Amino acid sequence: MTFFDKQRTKFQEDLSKAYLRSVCASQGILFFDHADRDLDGTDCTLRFYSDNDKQRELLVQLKSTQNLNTSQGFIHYDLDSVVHNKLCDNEFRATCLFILEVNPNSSIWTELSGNELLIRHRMYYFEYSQEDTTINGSTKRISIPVTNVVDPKDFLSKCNEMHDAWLISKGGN
Amino acid sequence: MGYSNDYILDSITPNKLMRYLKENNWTIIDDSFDSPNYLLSKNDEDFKQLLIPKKKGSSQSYKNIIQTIIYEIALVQQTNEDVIINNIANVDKYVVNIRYANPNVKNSNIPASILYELLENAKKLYLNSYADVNLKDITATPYRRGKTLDQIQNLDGRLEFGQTTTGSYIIPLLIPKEDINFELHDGDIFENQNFDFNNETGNEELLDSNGKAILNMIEKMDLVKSIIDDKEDLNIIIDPSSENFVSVNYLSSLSSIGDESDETIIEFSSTVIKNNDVKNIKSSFSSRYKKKVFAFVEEYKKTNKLDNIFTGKLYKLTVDNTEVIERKTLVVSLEGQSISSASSKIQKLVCEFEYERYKDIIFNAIENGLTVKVEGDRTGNKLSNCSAEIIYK
Repeated sequence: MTFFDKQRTKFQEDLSKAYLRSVCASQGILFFDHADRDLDGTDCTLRFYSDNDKQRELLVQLKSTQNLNTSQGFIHYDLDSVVHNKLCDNEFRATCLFILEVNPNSSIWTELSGNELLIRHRMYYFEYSQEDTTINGSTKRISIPVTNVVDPKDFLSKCNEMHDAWLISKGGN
Repeated sequence: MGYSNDYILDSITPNKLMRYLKENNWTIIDDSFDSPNYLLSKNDEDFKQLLIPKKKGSSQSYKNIIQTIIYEIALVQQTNEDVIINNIANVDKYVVNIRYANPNVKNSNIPASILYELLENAKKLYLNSYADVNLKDITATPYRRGKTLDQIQNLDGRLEFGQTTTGSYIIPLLIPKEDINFELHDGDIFENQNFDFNNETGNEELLDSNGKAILNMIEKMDLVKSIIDDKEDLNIIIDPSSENFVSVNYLSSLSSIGDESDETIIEFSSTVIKNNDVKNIKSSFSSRYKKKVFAFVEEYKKTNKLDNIFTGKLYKLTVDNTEVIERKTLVVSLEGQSISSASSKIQKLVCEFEYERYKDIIFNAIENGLTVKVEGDRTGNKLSNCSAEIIYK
């Protein structure tokens, strides 16, 4: 087994962070990696500003997978129950799940074409304010609309929508 | 240092956080009803913003947001997180940092032989400064004698020494703040969502009694030093009608600060907010001044001979009436010397104490043969209205 094979999970995580980080950079969203800090259940914070310069944050759990199960307009992903329950703790923070579909062939994860660097494939987002904790022992199935694609064109507005959804869920706090 | 998560969650309440941030020029910019958090920004820096929980929580997300806040503040203040945690935990207290500095002590530790005296006299220096600046009209004397005033006794019981800092021997003396706004809101000022942050916290032009005492303690240290440097007479400041009044008690405490080494410097520093301005105040005291102040205090005591303060041992008096049910006074015998001179003769005096306040000290001193300092109003061989403290065990 090569070094890469041994560390494949780590590299997949790095790829998903790089993917999201590059989209954030192009949208003026700050990306803070939690690698050196224990912020329970999350991998990074996305910090952005509303139209009137008010700071907003999303705490993100990143996942990557080689086999996305899609049916009836939804992507179905089985998330570890412990991780799911941690994301449901959003009393003081907006949490969300991002999933990157990676190619089984790691040699084509990225590709240079002309003067463009391509990162494969799509990343999907899922906002957590409507989720409840599970008592399932192992996993919780998350169904994400296939339209919830991370797109550099409108990602900032999608982040604001996710934050608004969380705020609405906290209404009357 | 390294604080545990439990300590952080217990100590760093939203209320304390908001007080700390206000004092460090952060302002609420969003307190929308929907959000469980306030949004604050650092004045004049639009994009340095912080989310602060409106109320204390117990969830993991609460713990995470508190950890993030401390991390972010440490970044902005360019200091480490432990310092921030300590400052927030003590935000309802003034901190007077007392630093022992001697270039010959290479490991930044403090000789054990001087620690006790430094702590005790630093505390006394502060209490005397408090009395000088806040109770001058009640005492109206250059040298306060007799029973300790209730205000001082109460304050003495509320003073603390905080955790020390690595790298230099700094002892933080913690003094409670008297927060008028906090009292007005029944301790709930920052948990009420409907208050106007700027209006509510804007009326801090006046310094509270403890703030005044800290300012006085440090400023008067400089005054005393300048009088000595200018070869003027310290008598000019011990007049209670003087604008720059300094009591002999203050000077006496000051004369006991530090050790005999010429190299030793004791630094005092603090931060107070006056007229909404943060004032960093600092002074230091060295052996050179200590010797001069000590000589002045000794001379004052000799000239104004005191015969109402004694150190010695207490003995039981024969009880004349054993059927007293509600005892109000306690009368005992004292064999001791006047503190006015080390060579004064041993005298026998009858001392009368308030029973409830002093019974424990007196019985302990008699039963265990402890040395006490007794102060009272002297008439013949009797001291009445006495106070007592155990000085040697």
